[in-house]
Amino acid sequence: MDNVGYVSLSAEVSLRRNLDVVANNIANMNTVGYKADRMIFAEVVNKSAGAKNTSPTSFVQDKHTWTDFSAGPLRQTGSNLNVAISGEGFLGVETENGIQYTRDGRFLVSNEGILVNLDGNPVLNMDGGQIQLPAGANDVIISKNGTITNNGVVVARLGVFTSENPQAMKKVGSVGFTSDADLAPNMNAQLLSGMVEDANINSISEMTRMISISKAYDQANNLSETADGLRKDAVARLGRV
Amino acid sequence: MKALAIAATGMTAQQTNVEVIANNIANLSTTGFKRARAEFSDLMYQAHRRQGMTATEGGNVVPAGVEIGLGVKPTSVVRIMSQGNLQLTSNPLDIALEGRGFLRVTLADGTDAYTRAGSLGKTPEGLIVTSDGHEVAPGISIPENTRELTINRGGEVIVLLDGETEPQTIGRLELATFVNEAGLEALGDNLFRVTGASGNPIQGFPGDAGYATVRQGYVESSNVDSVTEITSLITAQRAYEMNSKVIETADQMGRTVSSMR
Repeated sequence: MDNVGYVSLSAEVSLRRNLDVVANNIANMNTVGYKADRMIFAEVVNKSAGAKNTSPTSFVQDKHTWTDFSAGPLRQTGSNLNVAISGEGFLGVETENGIQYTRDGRFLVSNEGILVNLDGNPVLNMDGGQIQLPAGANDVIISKNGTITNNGVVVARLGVFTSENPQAMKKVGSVGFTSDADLAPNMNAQLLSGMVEDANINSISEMTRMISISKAYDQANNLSETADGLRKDAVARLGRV
Repeated sequence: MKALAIAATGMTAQQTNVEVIANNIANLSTTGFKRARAEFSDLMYQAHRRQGMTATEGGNVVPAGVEIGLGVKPTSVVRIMSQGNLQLTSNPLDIALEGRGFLRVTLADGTDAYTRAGSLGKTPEGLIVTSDGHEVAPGISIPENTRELTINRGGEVIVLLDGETEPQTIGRLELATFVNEAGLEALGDNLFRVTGASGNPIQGFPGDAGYATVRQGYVESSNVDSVTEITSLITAQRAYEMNSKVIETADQMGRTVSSMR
């Protein structure tokens, strides 16, 4: 009998976390390179909870969040230092906490002439090194295969890396992912210069998801209220006897 | 219930976005203005169950954990230094820069600033100054008895004096470029100042390789594109609305809890 309260509680806790995930997706609607998170629920079965000849009790648990790596819409920015990856792959960025991978191709040139991202961290070339632009570089073009030229002179090749198992990568904020194993360079990656990849958030489906979370939460709550009513009735009636 | 705080970061971010767009639209017809764009990235993540942990005694590894993001933050407001349209004014002291580079001006306190707004003027003494009266490097004085003034593509100031038949060159405008133009600090009044991020100015003359050429009788209008700005404004407004919807939902779920018996 007391299980009802805990079953609905398990649902409520999971649904709240799910709302947090949806809220984060919506908050990052306009974040370049952001990839949506989704939550997977799992059934946790407790065989000993029920009486011997009844069915076991199932609780719910928020088991995984997984990242939806589907492509986001491309937006034209006109900046020659912005790139979007068409198809799979990540750009590499060297941070103080090691290499991070990202789909965010908003780059700038630092005061030392190094190609950096918006946080000032150097962007990696195919060999995993920094990209140093020549002094006074003024006509930097990133071609489709990642070759960076200045006034027609090849400077470096922008690194694009692919992961065999992107789900094992960990989100670390600033649109970055970390991976336990270094990703392999992908020589066949296609880049689009002058574009950025917007977040792959579909506002309608996020809204629908939010509504269904809210409704499910109400239902879980109703469940515990019903159980509470039953308990109250039982106490009142048994007390009369 | 983190959803409230997460949605709040979303609303703050969109507010910043609208502010930047508003400033762009307000400066639609400011000479030499360069539009800016607010850039965002996601905040840190909280792991409730980390991927890569062993899930069972057999050594099975959790393939994907539970990670919950904490919202969004504005990373930077990047100025987009693309060329603005040229606008014909026919004023001999109006110049537009075509290409990279800034005019160097000297502020009242003696420090240098840089500008692309080429609507120039003269002091009573004939010195070439900006429309706010800042001296334009290298400080060229136009003689009083000038009949015709020409500034050529190379930035050379050429005058034809009264009673003379040969024009003479009296100076050449200087330009400066920066490794990272987006790192310049905007001072208002169309002026920019050097920062640690922009790198030191690289001096040159108009027409040199990598520097702009000068076009007399034109000014460079702002590079704000009204259609783009309005579209971004609509996107920002909708995103703001949706974040407020999340707050509503989270609030409603909170209410459900507090009405629980």
